[in-house]
Amino acid sequence: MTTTANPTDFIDKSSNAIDIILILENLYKALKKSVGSLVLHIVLWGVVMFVCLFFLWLRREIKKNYPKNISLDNLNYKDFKKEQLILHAKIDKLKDFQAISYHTYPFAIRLMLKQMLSTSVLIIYYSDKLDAAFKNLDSPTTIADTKFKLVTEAELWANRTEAYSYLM
Amino acid sequence: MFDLFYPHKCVGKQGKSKSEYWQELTIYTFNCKLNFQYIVNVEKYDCNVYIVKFYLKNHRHSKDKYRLLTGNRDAPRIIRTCINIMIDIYKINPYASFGFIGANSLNEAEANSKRFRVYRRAMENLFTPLKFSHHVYIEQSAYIMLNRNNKGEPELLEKIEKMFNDFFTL
Repeated sequence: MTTTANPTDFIDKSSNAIDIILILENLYKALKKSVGSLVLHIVLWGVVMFVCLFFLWLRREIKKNYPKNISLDNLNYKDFKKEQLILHAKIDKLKDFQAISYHTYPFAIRLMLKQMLSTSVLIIYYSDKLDAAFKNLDSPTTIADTKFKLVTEAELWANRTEAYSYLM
Repeated sequence: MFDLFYPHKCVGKQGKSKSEYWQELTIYTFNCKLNFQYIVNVEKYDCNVYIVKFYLKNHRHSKDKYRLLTGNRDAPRIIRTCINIMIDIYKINPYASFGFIGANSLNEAEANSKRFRVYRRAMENLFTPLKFSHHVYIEQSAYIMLNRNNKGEPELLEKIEKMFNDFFTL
């Protein structure tokens, strides 16, 4: 297991992107309730270009820091684990956002949604990759059917006190 | 909790075969802050499995030497010293897997003993799942850390369980 790039920048930017997407979603819902549809459309057309360009830029920034290989080792294990937990805390909301029926929205919104969805797909894809890397640690090392029960990686993490440093 | 430890030294080896699995016994000693001496027996079995056992030297003639409590309130430091011994072994043999049984005290049930809970906590906090896969058998307070470098041994856990059965009657 060799060392890899530090994914902190990626996580920071992804985390910010998730926050922005969720804020915009809530803002849209609030505006829809409080102003008429004509005013809403005017506002949306006013910001559509800005939002699309912003997400194009954001996605480029995220891709720039995208860790291509997740290779766990003793040095990065704790960092990756913390990042997995940060992503998990936010990703459920993002998955709800992904489930929206895209085609029911007006055209201006669809343009923005397309950018947001592409960004969220990138983040979710990375999160799944990270989960798979950790899950890989729980793959049975033996084919034996024994009385011994495997303590999964997630259980080991949950049982440990964060202040301890790993010796090995 | 497990930051402090005592310096240990290897005092000897015995290679006499006790059974078909048993390969070698290495004996380590260390002195605690009250100047009591502890004996750590590291038994090497087939498949690079090491079983770590320790007891107070004063208890060496007792059949319950692994079950007696000293009452010195020094367990974390003693456990950490044993962990340092395990690390030394790992440095010599990068294929080493480790196991132990948290012996129950005299008036305690065998399952999930107090010793087992403390040792388990040490293992979970100090050994990453990257190098070892951790396995527990709570009913017998047994813990095994299988070395992930041992990929050529698909039935390693089964073999270790058999060894445990023969020696410790799981």
